[in-house]
Amino acid sequence: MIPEPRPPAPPPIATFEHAAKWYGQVIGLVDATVQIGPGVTGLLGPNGAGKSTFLKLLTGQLQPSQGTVRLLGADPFATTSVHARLGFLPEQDAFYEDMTGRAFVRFLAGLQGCAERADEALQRVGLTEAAGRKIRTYSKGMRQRVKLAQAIAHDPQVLVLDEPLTGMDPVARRQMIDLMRDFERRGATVVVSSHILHEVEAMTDRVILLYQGRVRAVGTREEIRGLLDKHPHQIRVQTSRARDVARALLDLPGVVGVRVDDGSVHVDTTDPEAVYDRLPRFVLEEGLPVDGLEAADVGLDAIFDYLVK
Amino acid sequence: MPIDIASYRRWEGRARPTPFSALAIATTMVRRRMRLRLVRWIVGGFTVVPCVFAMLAFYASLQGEGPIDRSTVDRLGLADVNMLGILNFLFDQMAGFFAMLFAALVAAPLIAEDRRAHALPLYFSRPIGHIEYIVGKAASAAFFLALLLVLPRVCMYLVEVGFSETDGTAMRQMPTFLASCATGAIGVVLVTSIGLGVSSLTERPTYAALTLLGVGVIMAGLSFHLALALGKPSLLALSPYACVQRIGMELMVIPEALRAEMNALSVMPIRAAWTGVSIWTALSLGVLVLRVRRVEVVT
Repeated sequence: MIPEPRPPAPPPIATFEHAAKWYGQVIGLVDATVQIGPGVTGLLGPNGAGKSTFLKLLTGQLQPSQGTVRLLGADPFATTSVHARLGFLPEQDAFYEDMTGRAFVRFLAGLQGCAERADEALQRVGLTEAAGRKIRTYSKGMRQRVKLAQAIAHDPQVLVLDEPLTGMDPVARRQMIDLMRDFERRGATVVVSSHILHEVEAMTDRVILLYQGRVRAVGTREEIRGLLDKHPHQIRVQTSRARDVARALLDLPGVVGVRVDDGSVHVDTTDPEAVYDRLPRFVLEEGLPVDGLEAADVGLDAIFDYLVK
Repeated sequence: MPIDIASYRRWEGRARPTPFSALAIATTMVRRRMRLRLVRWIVGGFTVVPCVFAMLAFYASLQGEGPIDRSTVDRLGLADVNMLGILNFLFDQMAGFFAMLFAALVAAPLIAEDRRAHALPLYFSRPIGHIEYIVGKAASAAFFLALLLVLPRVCMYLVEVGFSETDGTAMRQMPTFLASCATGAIGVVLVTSIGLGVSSLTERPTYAALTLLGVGVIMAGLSFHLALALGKPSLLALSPYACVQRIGMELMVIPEALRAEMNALSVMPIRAAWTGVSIWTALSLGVLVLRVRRVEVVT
């Protein structure tokens, strides 16, 4: 039986080919070669990894020092018309504080040729009631919503969101993620950056990992997780009977090393969940005192250190 | 309030670059300024007061009681000189100084506040070129400066036409009126470009405003001392705009300089030439500064 030919892969919406950007002596991005297709793509990396530079190159605000960047087939820096199909939510607050939310969105939507869409965009982000208030009176979450409204007012084909969940409460985060998924369902391309791993995991399956200005990995969430799980996590247990606790922990699956240090036990494990599950049992059944418990290296910097070693 | 996905109607239209984006930027900036009560008062003070003053001065001159009284006119032999031209010239010197103060208010914040608020990415991720952005910002400053530098001239012209006892005054004075308006327009462009250039240098509008005031004072002093050194003391050369004109006229050693200066119409070609050179320089500097600064501001 002849297998059916696979449908051709959709053409990439954005491509980076050996793109690099540096600011004098400071490196922003080095030799980035990636393709971004329709759907949600997460840009993950610690602070200073080059995420914002990546997004500014993608949105045509910066010109690459080397290599090429293409968005919808055009050079986004030289071709301003391609920006008509682009929505951008910057990381930093970018407001005229004396304007109302409605006037602000209407002004920016007007520059895209669709000022009449402002009210609908404000309704979509749940700001209709507060739209008549001045932006200086808005909370952090409301400011994020206004920024989102100006980005989606013209229903862009490419939506670029720089740290969109910053300052949002859990409910608003969930809603923001739903909105991204809605864009994805309608065939749009969403590129979203974050320095928090679980945020990106919640938003997308496709991840681009950046670290120190370089693209370290491109792949699905599972592939990235697999990379991370190969490396032991470190957990610190504070206890007055460090030697007894260390002896008990050594028997747990996944534990590859234990170190006793001044009233605390440092555990290296590839299965941190097992440690978290069994510790309460030690306390209850064996009477081992545990005064504190913390993951010593869950910071993204530590994770990226693992990846680049 | 939840994000409302269900109510969102997919837009069937097509986003497109608007051909009037510079105009949209200008009108929004003007509205923002005018929405502030303090700015409305200051704008009123800088525009309505000079207008009223110019009209009163001109009306008084028509009656022989103005800043140049009849005896002075007779002594200088200026009886046949165009009075509208003289008043326009005097107005020019004073308004030039106030234009720098006004620019500190309306032009200094234009780019500085965008840099401070990190608003530039919002503009440049839209289908807007740098030229449209600069033109839009400049147009909003030019609107306010035109209220100061052009509107009073229109008022003076209307006063003369309205109070004239002879027929055909409107047409007879039309060349002088148009020339004076052109002079005002040149001043608007010059001060606007200087204001935008200074505004692009800092993230703090206050610093830009103080710099503009400093530039005005320094150039006024330079103009005054240069005129003294040349042995031809000039009065009221209190702005870069007037300074450039004054230096040009002094260096070119115009015969019977006083008489020529007093007749605004006759010195117009010289003014236009020198002002044109200064505009070109200021615009070049302004654009250069913006181009250089842009990389930094979007970084």
